[in-house]
This record gives sequence, structure tokens and C-alpha cells, in this order.
Amino acid sequence: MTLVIENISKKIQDKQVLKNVSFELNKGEIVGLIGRNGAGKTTLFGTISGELIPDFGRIGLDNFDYLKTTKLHDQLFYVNMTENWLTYYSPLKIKDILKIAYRNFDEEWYDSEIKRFGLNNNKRIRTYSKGMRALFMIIASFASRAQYVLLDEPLDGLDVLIRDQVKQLIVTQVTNQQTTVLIASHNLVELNTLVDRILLIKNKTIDRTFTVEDNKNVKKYQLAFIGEELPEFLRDSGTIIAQTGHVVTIVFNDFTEDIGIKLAGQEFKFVEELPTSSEDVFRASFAEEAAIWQQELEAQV
Amino acid sequence: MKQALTLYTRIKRKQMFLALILGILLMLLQLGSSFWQDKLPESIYSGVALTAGWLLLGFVSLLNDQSRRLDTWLYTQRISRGQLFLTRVLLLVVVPIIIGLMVNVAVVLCVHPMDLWKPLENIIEVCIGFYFFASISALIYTVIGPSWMKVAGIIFTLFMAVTPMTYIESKLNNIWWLDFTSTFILATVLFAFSYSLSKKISADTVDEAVRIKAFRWPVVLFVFLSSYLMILSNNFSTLNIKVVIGSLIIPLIASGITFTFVFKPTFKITWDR
Repeated sequence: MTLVIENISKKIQDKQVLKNVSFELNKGEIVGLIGRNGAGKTTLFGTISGELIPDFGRIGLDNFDYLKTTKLHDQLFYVNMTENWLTYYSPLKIKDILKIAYRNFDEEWYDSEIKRFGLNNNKRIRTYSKGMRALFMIIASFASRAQYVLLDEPLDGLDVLIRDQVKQLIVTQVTNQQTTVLIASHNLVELNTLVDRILLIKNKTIDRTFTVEDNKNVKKYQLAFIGEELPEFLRDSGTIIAQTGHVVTIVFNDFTEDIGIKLAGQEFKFVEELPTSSEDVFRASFAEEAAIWQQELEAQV
Repeated sequence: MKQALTLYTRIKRKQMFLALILGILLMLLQLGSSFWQDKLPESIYSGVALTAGWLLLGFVSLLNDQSRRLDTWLYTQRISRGQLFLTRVLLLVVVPIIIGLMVNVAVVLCVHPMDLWKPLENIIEVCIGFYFFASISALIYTVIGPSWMKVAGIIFTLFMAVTPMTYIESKLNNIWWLDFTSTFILATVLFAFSYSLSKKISADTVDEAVRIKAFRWPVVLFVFLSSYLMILSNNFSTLNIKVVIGSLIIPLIASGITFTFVFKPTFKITWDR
């Protein structure tokens, strides 16, 4: 069972937000979706789920056009984490509604998780704290037993202990139920420990798909240069993450043999390769924008 | 369709019950005042009060659906946009009108068992009037985005519809069935049109004055033409070139305001070179 997103384009108020977005979600995988603020992550979720009508493209599920085949719509769960109608109801009332909406709704699991996390069954969700609301949305998502669950910034506002439990809950559900989860998040450190692969949305489309381990082109180095000035090629080919005196931490978006040879040259006191994370890939992907900001900041100073 | 009806009824159970209660209260008020003032014939309109209360609260709860983003969630459900539209028409328009009609018939049977036809004719006329206004409201609810604009749009359109409707009714008054039938058909066509438009509504247009791009200019033109024709028709007896030009002022202002909301033009005023 694969959800296929094909060439989805969407304009909002005459502004292009998504352009030819294509990717696939396979059974039982957790996929991260990252991108800058306003990159179109929420629009993409809204379009996949059917809230928004795409201007162009198709979403396929089991050889069906998902958006046109309403009988399949309980195979996918998505609610906007912060703004949704569920917050006006109590978990008890929501259970009544979701039981009708989702054919495979797991009432027993829903009740047990509500109890486990100590959520008040009779109070409206909007009276909960931000973290508790997010937690409830995740419980409701998985209790639907939808094959595909879309979570938009699910770990926002959760304290460390609950965050760990939520992550555990997501992993357990994916393992036990073979649910496919697409998670949008700015917390790349958290994503690293959770996802199988990451989709990076840039310039209104999926710019790259990567796993942290397989991303061999992106390399991160810590090095100390000898002269007064930072060697020019570093600025041209990488993104400087940190600089303290002559010690620089840099990420190369597209590491080539030529850069390797230059790093081995006389200009450096020491050069050490560091493990890369998705945050590094993210920085490297937006190297040009980061460089422009850096120049603007330097100009202001 | 069954899924749409079940799901929507379950979600809106409380509001629908409240709407029914309000309708019944209004109905009892009408009945009570008719008996109190010894105007028994007026009690036949108690079902009309029931329908009016129900329809009004139904519309308020529809606006609530939008502000609470229930509409948005329902678009992701095992129901199509068209089925959602039909469900709402059925539960929030057809059911209140039919129940009100049934109450009316029951009261007529009690009050005028010998002379059924004339009161029934009046009641059917009122019910078809409700149906017609509901069809205009449904079209405006579908096409217009923000809630306050929907309300303003309905009030404006109903206000504008009064003059031509009265005129048409006066022409058709002698042939009552033609009046009923034409109003009923027109309302059903409006519902059908709204149904086809509802399938094209995307949740991202909720803040736009006109949710369907192709309708932007027609809405501005409608505001201009309807207000211009209404002003002209009110001054029909004193029509001259001065009146024709003078009558343009209000329509131009009204359509100008509508244009601003619909197209959101941005004028940049700057002294910088």
C-alpha cells in the first residue's frame, strides 16, 4: 500500500506555494518533512488530506485517485494541531464522533491512552495545556487506525518526558500497526531519532529526499586555518556554522574531491570530519540564503 | 450519503436539538398569543414560527462550523463536498420546513376543519418563501468566504430581492400555483447551482470575499446592477436624466466597496524617490 503524491501544485491567493511536488509514502515508514517557515508544509498536508483542492496533480492510493475516492478517506488522518474543531469537545464526545468517521477506530486503545496520560475525559480539549492538546491529537490520530497519519509539528510544546513518551508511542504504533507517518517539524534533532528518511521542501517543491546515514555528499568539518583571512574557497563551497577565532565548523552541501584536496593543504592546522545530522543537511541546503543574511548582517555592523 | 447524514447529525446533535427547542418555543409563543388575544385564526402560523426559529439557529450553527474549522475537517472525511452540502440542505432547510408544515396542517385541522384550502394555501406560500430564501442563503454561504460578509451579503440580497419579488408576485397573484411552482423551481435551481459550486470550494479560500475566482466580477456587477435597478424602480414615476445619473451614486459606492473587499487592491502611496 503506497500513497503516491504526483506533481501537486497549489496557489494560495494567487501566490504559488507548491509546484510539482512528488514523493511516495510506503507502508510502515516514518518520514520527516522539513523546510523553512512558510515553505508550504502545512499547505502540503492540507492538500494531501483533501482540505485543499490542488490546482494540478494527483494523489494516488492503491490505484485510486485518493481525493476523488471518498470511501478511502478514513485511510488517512490529519488535523491541524492547533486550529481544529476537536478542541471544542471533550475526549468522550470526540470518541463518539471518530467512531463514526473511522471504520477501524480503536476505542479500547483510545480509552487506555487517555487514561495512561491522565487526560480528563470530560473537559474540553481547549482547556488543556498546549502540550496536553498536542498529546491528545496524537492519540486521536493513531486511534483512528488510519493507514496514513500526518502530524504537523507534533512535538511542539511538549516537555522532555512527554516528548519521549510520544516518540515511543509513534514508534510502537508504526511497529505494531504498520502505520505510515509523515511528520513536519522544525526540531531536526528530534526528527533524526525518529524518521526513516527526510523530505526537504525548498523552492516550493521537494528539493531532496535523504537519510542522514546515506547523505554522503553533505559533509561537516571542524578545522583551524593558519593565515589571517578565512580561505576564500570555504565561503564559496560551504556554510559556516560556527567560527571562534581561527577555528571554523563548516558544512559542505556538495563535497567534492577537489574540496578534500584543498582541505589537506598547508592552509590548515588541523581538519577533522564530524558526524552530520539532518540539521547540517538543512543548513547546507539553505546555504545561499544563509550567506546572504550573513552578508547583510556584516553590512549592518 | 448515509455516512454524511450520520456523521453530521452526530456532530451537530446538540445544536439541532437547540434549534428545535427554539422553534418549539416560538411556536408556543405564537399559539399562546393567538389564544390570549382571541385571534384563533392566527394560530395556524405557529408552524411558521417553528420553521423560522429552526432555520435561523441552523444558519448560525453553519457559521459556527466555519469559524471552528469543522468544514475543513469534514472535507477530509469519507464524505464528498457535494454530500456535505446536500446533508446540510436536508437537515437545516428541508426538515424544519416539512416539520413546520406538518405542525401547521395539524393546527389548521383543529382550528379550521371545515375550511382547509385558504389557510393551507397561505401556509404553503410561506413555506415556499422560506425555501426560496434558504436557497439564496445557501448560494451566498457557498460563494462568500468570511462569516460577516455572508451575513451582510444575505441581508443585501434579500433587501434587493424585495422589489422585483413583489412585482413578480403581483403579476402572478391570480394564478397562485404558477407563483408557487415558479418560486419552487427557481429555488431548486439555485440549490442545484450551489451544490455544483460547493464541490469546488477549497479550505484555503475561507478568508477570501469571493471563494470562486470566476465569480469575483459577477459579484461586483451584481451589487452595482441590483442596487441601481432598485433605486431606479423606486423613482420610476419621476424618471429623467437627472434621476438616472443621480441614482448612480449609491450603486457606485456600494460596488466600489465590494470591489475593494473582493480584489483587495493595494495602493502604494510614498514620498520616497
